[in-house]
Amino acid sequence: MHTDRLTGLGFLVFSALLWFVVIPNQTEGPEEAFVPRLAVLVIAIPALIMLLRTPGKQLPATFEPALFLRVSVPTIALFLVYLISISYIGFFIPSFVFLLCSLLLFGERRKKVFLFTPLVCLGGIYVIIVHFLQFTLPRGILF
Amino acid sequence: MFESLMTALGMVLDWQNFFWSLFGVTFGIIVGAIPGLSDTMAIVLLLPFTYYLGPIPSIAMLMGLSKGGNFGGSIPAILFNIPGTPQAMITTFDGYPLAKQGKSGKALKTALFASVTADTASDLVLIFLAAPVAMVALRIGPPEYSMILFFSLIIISLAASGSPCRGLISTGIGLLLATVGCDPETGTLRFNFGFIELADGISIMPMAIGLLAFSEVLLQAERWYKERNRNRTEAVRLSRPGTDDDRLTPAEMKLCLPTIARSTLIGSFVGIVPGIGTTVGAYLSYIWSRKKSPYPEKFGNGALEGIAASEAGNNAVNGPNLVPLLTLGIPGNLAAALILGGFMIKGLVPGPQFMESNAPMLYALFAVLLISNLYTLIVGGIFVHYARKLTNIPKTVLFSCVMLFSFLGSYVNNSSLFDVAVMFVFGLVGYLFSKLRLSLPTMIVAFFLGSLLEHKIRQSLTISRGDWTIFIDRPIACCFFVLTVFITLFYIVRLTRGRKAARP
Repeated sequence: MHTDRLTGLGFLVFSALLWFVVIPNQTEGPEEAFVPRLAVLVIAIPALIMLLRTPGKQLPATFEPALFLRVSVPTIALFLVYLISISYIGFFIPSFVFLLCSLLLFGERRKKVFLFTPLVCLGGIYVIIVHFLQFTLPRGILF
Repeated sequence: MFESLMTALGMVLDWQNFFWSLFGVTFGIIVGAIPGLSDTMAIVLLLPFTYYLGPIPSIAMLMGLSKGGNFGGSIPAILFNIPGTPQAMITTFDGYPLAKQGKSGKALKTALFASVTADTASDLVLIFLAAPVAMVALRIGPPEYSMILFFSLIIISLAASGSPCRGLISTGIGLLLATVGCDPETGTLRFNFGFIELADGISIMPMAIGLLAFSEVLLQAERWYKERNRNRTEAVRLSRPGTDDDRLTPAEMKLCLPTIARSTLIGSFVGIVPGIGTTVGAYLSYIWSRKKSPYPEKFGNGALEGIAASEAGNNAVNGPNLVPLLTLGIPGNLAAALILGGFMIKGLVPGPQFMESNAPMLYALFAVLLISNLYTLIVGGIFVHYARKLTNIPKTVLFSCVMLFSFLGSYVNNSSLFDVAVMFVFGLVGYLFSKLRLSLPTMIVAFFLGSLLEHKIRQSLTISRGDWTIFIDRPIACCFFVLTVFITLFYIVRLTRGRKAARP
């Protein structure tokens, strides 16, 4: 199926879900639901046009599964682990580990970069955010 | 008036304004000069820190970021043929060929001269236009306001993205997201799905950081990973300091002035209309200057007028873009939407009443704009000598640091990890949007305008006791309604013709 039609179909289903399920459950009257329903129409009408019209020239694919699995999935997973660990451990140690892991993930191999990036970054954050602006960063079992 | 000006002068002559404006310009130039990081990313990364500043220093910093970032984008465009910002793409047409001839200094200085001149002229357009537009805006009621908002949203949907259908879908999603939280009239909760943190709606900051910074890291990392083994752009020979190749002579400045004036006019006109954007301003100026030039064949081969046209065209959009923002509360583009976020953080609501109730502050803002231009000239002049080193920061370091700062930026807002989670979710949404070729700027602007539109529509319906003809009964409202219909039809006809012509 052409990408345009697939996108149109996806948004049409999304609009139907919003119109028939989400909006009735999350609003308490027609006035409250008016703008959300208007927004759904603004999504549904162009989605319907995209689904029904003769598609134009197929544009180059924007999504490459191999790249997504190699780069984006590990990055997303790493950030998720970082986010969870911060709430238990505190800001600085997970951030240090996160910076090292992300550098490694993006293909960095130079020792100097591994040494200086976390030091400069976290040192700068400590001086400016914690010391100068007196802002409290998340705390956990370590710091 | 005189009293307001004196109060404004007192507000401006505070060291904090000068310092934060300088900081904004410097940071903006650095970020803009790094390929892949745009002026909007510079604004989005520093926006959360405006909590710690007063209203004028905050806006001074944001304006500085926008202006500095805009010029910064031209540096890699000239030196590496890689536009630092989308609008700098047109600068590569002549900037890079000139740099390859060993005249990188001349090219960069032409870009700086054109940027600052056009930006200053466009700020004057803003200063002179803001008051008359605000006077008219003061006389409009909720129905007229609703139709102006509706018109702006349609223009932004149709013009800001390549595909009108995708633009409209993006607008719809933005409007829908704006309805999350308390209902503006009844106060009951909508679409919060049990999260009490969403009672006040989705926080602007984490959302913008997720959509513009986090998702961009994912996209750029994929692109970089794919292209890192390919041949790199041919390196240019840097001009020798002090030689004619390194400086812009008075004769060359004089040669560029008519082009800058013409491009400023085009850019200013483009800037007033919401949604068209800086890239269009730069492109139209470039095309028009080539047409008017006695040597059109030089364009594309290192013509100084080409660089001047592109840079003047894109920078001239900046000032007039603030006209709809300051007078009607309608952001014309993404940078203006983020600046609106900065206003909202400080509890300021740009719109028809803003000029009346905050006249000294507005005059102070105008002064700050001009100060930022002066800083761009000074910092930009120094920076062009060191640009090459700074633009060579490894991508690996950039991606890691932007992710860390995305965390920080969304956390400092409310000291809440929930906001970081919101940023993360919107990062994924932004990634999905880009893969589906939907328009993120359109969605963000629609999000900003959504609650205002709902408020005005419901106010109008209360006035008319539910009678919908109120939106076409009044002359100004009717005029904007007709304009909206006309422009929509125009786009439909253009699209249909384009598709028919493309068919084999």
